[in-house]
Amino acid sequence: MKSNIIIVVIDDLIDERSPLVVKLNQEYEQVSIFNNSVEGLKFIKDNLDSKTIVILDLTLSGDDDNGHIVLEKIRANSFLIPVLIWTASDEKQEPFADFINNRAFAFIKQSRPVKDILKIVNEAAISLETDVASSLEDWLMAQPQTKDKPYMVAINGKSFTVEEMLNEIRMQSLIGKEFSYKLNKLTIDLLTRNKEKLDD
Amino acid sequence: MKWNFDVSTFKLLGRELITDKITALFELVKNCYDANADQVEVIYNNVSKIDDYSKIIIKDDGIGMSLYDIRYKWMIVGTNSKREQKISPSPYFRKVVGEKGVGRFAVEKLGSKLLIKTTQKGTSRKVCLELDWSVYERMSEDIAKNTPNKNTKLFTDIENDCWIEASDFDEQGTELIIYLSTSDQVWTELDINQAVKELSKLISPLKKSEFPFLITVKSNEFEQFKSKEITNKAIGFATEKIQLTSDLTKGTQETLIFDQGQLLVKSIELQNFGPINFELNYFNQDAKRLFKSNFKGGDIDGIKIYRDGVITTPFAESESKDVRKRDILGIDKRRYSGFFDKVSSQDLLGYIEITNQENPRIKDATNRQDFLDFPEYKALKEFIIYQIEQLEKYLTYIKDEKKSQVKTQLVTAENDIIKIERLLNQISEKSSPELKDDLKIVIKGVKGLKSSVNRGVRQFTSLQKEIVRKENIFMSLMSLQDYATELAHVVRTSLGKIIHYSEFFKTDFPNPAYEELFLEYAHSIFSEMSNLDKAIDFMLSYARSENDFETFDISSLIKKLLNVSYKHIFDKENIAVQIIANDSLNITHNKKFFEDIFENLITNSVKALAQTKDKIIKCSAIIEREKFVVYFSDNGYGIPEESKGKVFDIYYTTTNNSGGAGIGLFTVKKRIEALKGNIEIIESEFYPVGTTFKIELPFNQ
Amino acid sequence: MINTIIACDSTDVTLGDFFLACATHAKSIFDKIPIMVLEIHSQHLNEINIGLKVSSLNHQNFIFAAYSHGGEDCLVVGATDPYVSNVLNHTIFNNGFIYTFSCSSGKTLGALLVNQGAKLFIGYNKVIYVILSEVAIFVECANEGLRILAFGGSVGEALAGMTEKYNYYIDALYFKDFFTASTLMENRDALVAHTGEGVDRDLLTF
Repeated sequence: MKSNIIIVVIDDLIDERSPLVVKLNQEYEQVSIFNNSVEGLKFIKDNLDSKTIVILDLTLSGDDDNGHIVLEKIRANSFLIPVLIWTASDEKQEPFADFINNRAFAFIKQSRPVKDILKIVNEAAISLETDVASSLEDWLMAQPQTKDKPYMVAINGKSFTVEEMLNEIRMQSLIGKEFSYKLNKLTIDLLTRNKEKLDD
Repeated sequence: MKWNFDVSTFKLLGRELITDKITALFELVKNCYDANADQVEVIYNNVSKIDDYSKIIIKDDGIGMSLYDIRYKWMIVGTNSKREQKISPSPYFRKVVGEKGVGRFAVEKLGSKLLIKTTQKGTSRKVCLELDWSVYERMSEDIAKNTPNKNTKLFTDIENDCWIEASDFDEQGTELIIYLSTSDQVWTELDINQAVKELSKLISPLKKSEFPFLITVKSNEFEQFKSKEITNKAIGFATEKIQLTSDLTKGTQETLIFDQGQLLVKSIELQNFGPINFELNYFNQDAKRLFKSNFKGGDIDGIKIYRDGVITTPFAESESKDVRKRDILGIDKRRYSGFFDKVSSQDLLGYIEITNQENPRIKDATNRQDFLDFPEYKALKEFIIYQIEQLEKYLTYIKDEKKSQVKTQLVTAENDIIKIERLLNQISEKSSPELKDDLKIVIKGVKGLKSSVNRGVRQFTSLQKEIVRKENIFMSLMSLQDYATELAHVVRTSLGKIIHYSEFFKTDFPNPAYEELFLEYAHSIFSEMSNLDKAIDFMLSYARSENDFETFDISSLIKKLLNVSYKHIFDKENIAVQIIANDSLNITHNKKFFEDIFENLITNSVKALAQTKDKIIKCSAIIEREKFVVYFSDNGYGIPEESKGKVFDIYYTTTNNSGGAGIGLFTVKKRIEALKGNIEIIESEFYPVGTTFKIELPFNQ
Repeated sequence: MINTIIACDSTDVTLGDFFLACATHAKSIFDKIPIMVLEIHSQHLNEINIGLKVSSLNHQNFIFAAYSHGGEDCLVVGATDPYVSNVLNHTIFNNGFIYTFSCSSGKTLGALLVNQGAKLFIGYNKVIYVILSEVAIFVECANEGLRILAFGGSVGEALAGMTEKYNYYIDALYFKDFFTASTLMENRDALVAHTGEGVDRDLLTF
């Protein structure tokens, strides 16, 4: 069964005939390729409701933003999308700080064998499936309520719509993280009250 | 029977001598220089669009001409363009720069009507002459239409209007007023700019000049030329420039000292010869050529002494006699030190400033050929020689400098290729016959590649051993470290792809669903290998030994390539070629290197022009400020906006580029960058179609 | 004899409906018991009015139930204007059994009021949330303690009962709707009660 996580490749020298894409297509239902960052970013934005993994070329040429800036732009929308940075150039000369701050999932040299790259993509897929925040995101998106009516309100006046909660989770703000934290706490609570066993 | 000829003959003669209006103007101003003018005004009036007031005026204060001069010299049509080296009249003794007999043709190139007004000192008569070419033109047309008979007037029959006006007794000079009347006589702002550049070659770049020559350009239409005094920056071409001053109040004198690889200026106490200011410019071979091509009025001829701003007699005498410059300071007489190379007075341009008051013991000898041999003068000579010796030490040091090299990446590349070769052999053993054939070609390619890389490694190693470099290279090569990095990057990019293709074979072969894909990959491996091979070849071309270096003029090279070498292609493809390359730039480099750059550009243009109707390739080469700029244009398909940033990438191709440009423009860019230059795509000269490349090459780092 | 006041900020923009639901539910509890209830809604909720009304009751045990926004040291109407606070009317609550569903007041206000003579304060010591799609559950949990008290249970029993109610719903919901479950859990954990010094909660009844 192929995974329905969408793989988004932003690279100007790749197409559907490239070996990496052919191999990805064997395991993932949809692999979308974009040769420029503008279209790639638009697709990611339009598909925030789906699970996506992004493979981003560091050295997009021409007038495009380079990989560092594209990563920043992706992160402006969500921290929950794994972004794999890959490059053909010498990694020892690349500035790194922003990759850490912007939570790049991995950094891969293009000359690594396809099977290694695939392995990392699969790791990203697993983390997507199991990450608490991602689960929260999924669950919120599945709520039948109209997304812009207040959903959760604090008794001191602060209110959140589902849309707002989704945003907090994606941006991993303090509140966003608190939601994940609450979820984890619930799990522990249930376990301690013996309502759930760990191997269920 | 007399010899007669018509005006078109006249024009033909002109064409041979004067190719364009800028050259024409230059020749006329040269004549002013040769006539001992102190000042020349070049006035452009309404020259960008023809009207009744369009004219160019060249006005100087030189010695002027008499009626005799006009009648028996100026009006005689002769093409005696050769003349021995001559000097202008005393006391200027300027090296004459104009061609004899060319002035009148120059005028015809610029305008349709000429009015000369000229006067000499010591007369109160100003001779005026009017020449109207249009009369001759009309006459020529008549002749062409009708059969000539005895009533037909010929060129030599026409009487030109001549009269006398009054002038001051002490006034001298010549004024040429040229009237423009046809559209091809128009001057654009760019044209005036070009003219200014040419004219600056007559101005001395030295601060001190016995009889300075001043040119002012005035235009009533272009703000930047409202009143522009022309200056010459040729002194800027000096390879090394040293200025030493002295301070009376502190009692110090600056001197040079070479210390641990650096040329430093140190302050010592005033010497017994008194305080001096010393400016010294050193020119290597190429800088010399540049200087000469940018200053027509002088040579690089050693160090001279000026007292209170005036050249001292021993040096003045040697100039006017035009004999071999006597080596007054003894720079060339020094015995060869044996330790480092000597600099001669032909490599130096400098002047020593002294004053009567502070340097009284530097006294001219009565024979006017030398200075009195006081101890102070001896000390001065020794001081100057010492400065030159410091310079020599410094130049030798630079020559001997070794840089540290990097080699490992090349060796890694070599290992990677050996692995691939093994893998391919394994695959080949398991494949179908059809695939085996394809793979055979690939394997052969890999072998070839391996030997290329191996060559690269060995070449690189031998470069490491090279110590002595030719001093004449003033455009430096890409450093060896950059070479290694560049090569490694190229190899890695290609190898990355090849690895992925081969890996796919390994993991997924055989699989009937991917049959087509396998064939495609096999081909791709092959073309990546070929690209890689070309890339390495190109890289290796950097590493030629110095025996392949020669001195040549880039402009001449361009002209030869476009007019001769590629003529057959242009003829076959029906491409019209336009060349503007009058500025020369001599360099010492590998000629093939440059030919390859242009080969690539030409090939690209030919491809882009495939579907164009009236095909044009245009190449302009000019010197702008301190750069040599080449504009290379065609009016072909053009490059789409979004690709403009990518065309220089190593593997850029468009579907429109039949055959794939592949690596061409990448190599062009790398070559130009190796010369510390720059290439970019600017708005097409043939907008909205076509492409223009702008290449800049600096010549002073 | 009126001996119960229900204060309810029913016109609040975000939670007015919810507070009203709580008040209505509370009233329905008292319907079954001989207790007279006075309702005070938003426009009448201010310190003066509260002061007046409460003062008329405080010579004997009374219940004061509040459904509104709150802060650490006050209960507010319209999320901004205090009607019970630590500066104006905190002294009039002696003999009061104060029962709130509002944020944070359990932290400072609760202790203060008990200090000044109130017999009981039940409330929450931090920000508590309501999920608007499960109002009924939140209302029921909110009033469980009040119900037990009204029916004669002790304070100790009321608190235990509230915890049990919260857990009941958490367990029922977590599989389908873990978010609501975790919100209920947070509320449960923020529950606090203040009683006078030395008072035995298992013996204190209304």
